[in-house]
Amino acid sequence: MDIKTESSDAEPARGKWGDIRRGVILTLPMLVVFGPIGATFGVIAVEAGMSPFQTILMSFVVYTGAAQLAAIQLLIFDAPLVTIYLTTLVINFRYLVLSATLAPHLSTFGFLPRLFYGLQLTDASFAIHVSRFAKAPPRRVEVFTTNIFAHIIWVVGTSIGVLAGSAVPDPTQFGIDFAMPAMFIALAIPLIKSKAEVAVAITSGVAAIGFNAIGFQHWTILAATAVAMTVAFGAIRWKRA
Amino acid sequence: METSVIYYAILGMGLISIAVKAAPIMLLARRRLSSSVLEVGRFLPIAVLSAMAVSGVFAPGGRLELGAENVFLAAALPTLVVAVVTRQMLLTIVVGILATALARWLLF
Repeated sequence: MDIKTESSDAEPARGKWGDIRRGVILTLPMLVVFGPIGATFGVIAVEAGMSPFQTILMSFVVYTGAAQLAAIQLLIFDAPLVTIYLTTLVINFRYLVLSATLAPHLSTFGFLPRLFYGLQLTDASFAIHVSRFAKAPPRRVEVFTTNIFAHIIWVVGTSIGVLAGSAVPDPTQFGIDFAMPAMFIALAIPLIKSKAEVAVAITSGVAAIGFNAIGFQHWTILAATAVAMTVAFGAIRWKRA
Repeated sequence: METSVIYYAILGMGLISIAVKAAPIMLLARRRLSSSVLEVGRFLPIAVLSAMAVSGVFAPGGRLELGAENVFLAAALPTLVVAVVTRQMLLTIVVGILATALARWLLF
């Protein structure tokens, strides 16, 4: 199957069905990325005492794995709502950067499509779209096919976890928990071409290791990106000089 | 767990997530950005994706893990090679998953 994210392949004219097909193909890896994590969340949430309806509703409405798992831990300990909200905000802070990165590409989208896009933004769909938009302007049908399909996988994954309970096998048994990092690697590599881009990527990676080492946790992505962007700024200045 | 608390949690978390995810797209998409901002911004996807990939490999639980028990470190090597050589997303993910399973099987 052709799922190349290479910048060299030409963009043939496609109709609506071609866009839907392409969107579905682009989203297929999400089956292994989102499916198991959604199922794991479903199992944990029900075990913690949430009803099946509440668990599935949370996946549908909140749609962000790390914050959902953190919220379950807090709900178990009867933490105040303020704590749950603040934790969600801190964990989700990186979305500001992801969203801002995609924003210039979505300038042809109207108010509602942009809002709808924002509702369904995730790390994985960001990774897919940012590498797609690097080579061609976004095609609305393809973009929303990807987002809606990913959202469905997340909710269905959660539902499977809720229904199957502890019968769901532990994903770490098979190495499926590496699917997400592998996806980020697969999507980052084709974007890195020039020397300056290599420098930015390495700086960001080394900074991420450093910030993780000193316990930055959910702030790591933001902090590492900030450090790497100063290198990017320097590279541009240096080229001009 | 109190039922009403759970629904308030879902509602509030949903609103916070939507606000954080959508605000930059809503506010920045139609702005005319200067050419120098766009020139630097070109590097943003690389910076963000690299930080996410490296964090996922070196700190799977949110904390740096450099010991042998972190099999992602070993799995990342073949994954990186396949990504560089083939540039195929699905193949890269499959190799990564198999390498992780193999590393766990060999080590434990």
